[in-house]
Amino acid sequence: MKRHESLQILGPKLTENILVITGTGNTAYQLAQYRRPEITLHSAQLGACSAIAFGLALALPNRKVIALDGDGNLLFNLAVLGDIANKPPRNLGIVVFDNESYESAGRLPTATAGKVDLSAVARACGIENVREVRNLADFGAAAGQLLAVTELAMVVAKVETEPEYKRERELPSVPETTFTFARHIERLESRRVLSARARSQRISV
Amino acid sequence: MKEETVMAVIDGLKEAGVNFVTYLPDSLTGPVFEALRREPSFEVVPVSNESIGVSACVGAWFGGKVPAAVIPTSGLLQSALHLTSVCHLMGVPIFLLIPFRGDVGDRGSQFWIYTLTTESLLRDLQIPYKTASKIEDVKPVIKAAVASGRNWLKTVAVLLTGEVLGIRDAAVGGEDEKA
Repeated sequence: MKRHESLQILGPKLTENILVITGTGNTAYQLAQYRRPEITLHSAQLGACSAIAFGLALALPNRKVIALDGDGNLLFNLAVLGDIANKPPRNLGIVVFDNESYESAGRLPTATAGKVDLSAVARACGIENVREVRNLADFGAAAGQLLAVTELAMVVAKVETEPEYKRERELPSVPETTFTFARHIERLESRRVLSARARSQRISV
Repeated sequence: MKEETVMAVIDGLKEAGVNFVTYLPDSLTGPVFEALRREPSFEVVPVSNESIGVSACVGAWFGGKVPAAVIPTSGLLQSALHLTSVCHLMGVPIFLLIPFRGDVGDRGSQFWIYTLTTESLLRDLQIPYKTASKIEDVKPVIKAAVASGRNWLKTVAVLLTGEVLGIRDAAVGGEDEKA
């Protein structure tokens, strides 16, 4: 199973009323075939993807939030799984595309190429709804369940590296995406994000 | 931490509109977290390291919250990557409240190292900050910093010195650390 094949299944299901966070790698580029990149927060640096999604899910408990994380990104800040499990947002789903490599850094192995089992780690952290999948049929079923449930859920998709993949388009810049993503949330939620200014013009200190 | 400082912090955060707080407690800030947890207006999120707290605050900001991360001086170093690669890069404002261990007058022998790093790191990260060294300054400084950050779309910090934390050497007018 390759990531772009799994995104052929998941991408069209990630409708605009679902909030999506990805890391900085190829996932965001591949997802852009199915979803406007302007409404995906696609620039979560190492260790930040699931943590940002965690905060967003807590802030908007009635909105589905999906983190499309990677093994290298998640391993960098693995403790986030424990923090999420201890304060579990019912609206958060985490998909980890685990290709056992730092693909953009020349496909050098991550710890999951060795002994680390991310689904076992997640369960041990206290995330109860975790599935590891290795083929497209199982991925489709797990992704459907992830989107349907009203509880914290995680799917670890064991995927192959894709050395042949070439990015076909540019994504919007990071600052631009901050504004478009925030505006998207403002429209969905009818609440202010960017324009939520403090009232006082000057506070003497 | 002095009780009146705890109350000033809580009141300052509330009056500034902060409603989402991440924390990893240190030896001084435990009473702040107990007080935060008693206040229903705060979503209080314990984290295992400060970079998780910073990034969770970024997510909360996108959700319309006014987020704050309470970060020990050591944790400021730990969170530097995400303050840079997430907050700055995305242009998302969060508020940092930092109990300033290692300020001159702090007698904790393991904390002096942070006098070398704390303010210089904030400057290097280009995070504007204010220092509160009197209890009566705590609330207005927090309110001013949060308001500026929200309007500037920039992360802003407040340092609480030993005088307000209650750890300043008695020779300079404070009281010794009780812990």
